[in-house]
Amino acid sequence: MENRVRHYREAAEWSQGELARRLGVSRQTINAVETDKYDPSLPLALRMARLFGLDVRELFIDHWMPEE
Amino acid sequence: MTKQASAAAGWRKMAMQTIVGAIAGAGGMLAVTSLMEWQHGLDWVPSQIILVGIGFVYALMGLFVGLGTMAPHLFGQRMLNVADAEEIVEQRSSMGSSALSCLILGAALMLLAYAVTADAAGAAAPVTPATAYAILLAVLAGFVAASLWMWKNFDELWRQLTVDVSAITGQILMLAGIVWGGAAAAGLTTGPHPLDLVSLAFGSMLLACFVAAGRRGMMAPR
Repeated sequence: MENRVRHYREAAEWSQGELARRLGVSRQTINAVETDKYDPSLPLALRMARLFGLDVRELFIDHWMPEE
Repeated sequence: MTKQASAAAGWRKMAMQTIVGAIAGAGGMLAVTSLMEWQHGLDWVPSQIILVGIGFVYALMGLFVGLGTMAPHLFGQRMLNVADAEEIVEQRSSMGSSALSCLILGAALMLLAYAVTADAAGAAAPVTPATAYAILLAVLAGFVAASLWMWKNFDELWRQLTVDVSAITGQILMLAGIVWGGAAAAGLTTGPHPLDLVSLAFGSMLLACFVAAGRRGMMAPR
């Protein structure tokens, strides 16, 4: 799933380590999410969005559309 | 440093780690088996050599990670695939436990292979195969306990990785069991030596660790 975590993290001038510390996860988790190698759980995605003051759909972009 | 320069430095570091690991692994393995053959006149068969090799890889990984964990600034950030030394410091307890587990497990596997080889040759060995087996079981119990303790400290990515490793290990084992067992039953090849089963289990887990880590982008240079 496409995401804009790196964009908002860099905008906040946080390192991966700083974001990991604020979320209580490992740096590898942040790195894996930013490189699209891991989709975070729903609770973690919600926490990330809350931390950046965003709606979760602004942070994680799913291009899926329901069939007409 | 630009992103391109940083990426190039990362790949250089990974190439260096691979070369050092390959030299240390191949050289060490050759040295260990040559020493044992020379000292005891043992005749190593492929099943025993493979188990020694797998044990040696575990021990070597444990040694490298252990050294890196003990000295993150001096060795760790150069030898391990981390962004910087602080990353090691943050995960010192889980990395230290993993390193110790790998080191002890590797030694136990090599001891079992050595004890079986010496016993088959009628040579004197520090332990009998039965004792080596009992040691391996005790180490496994410790390995499980350490894994349970680490699970509590894992975040969701690491928990998912653990599940991935278990699933991939199971798939490799099933495939190998079906193909090899079926072929042996059909008389196309010989059945596995008992040590092959041990090698298969730990070798599959080792391979699964690399596959699972690679799929999550953890093998890419940091």
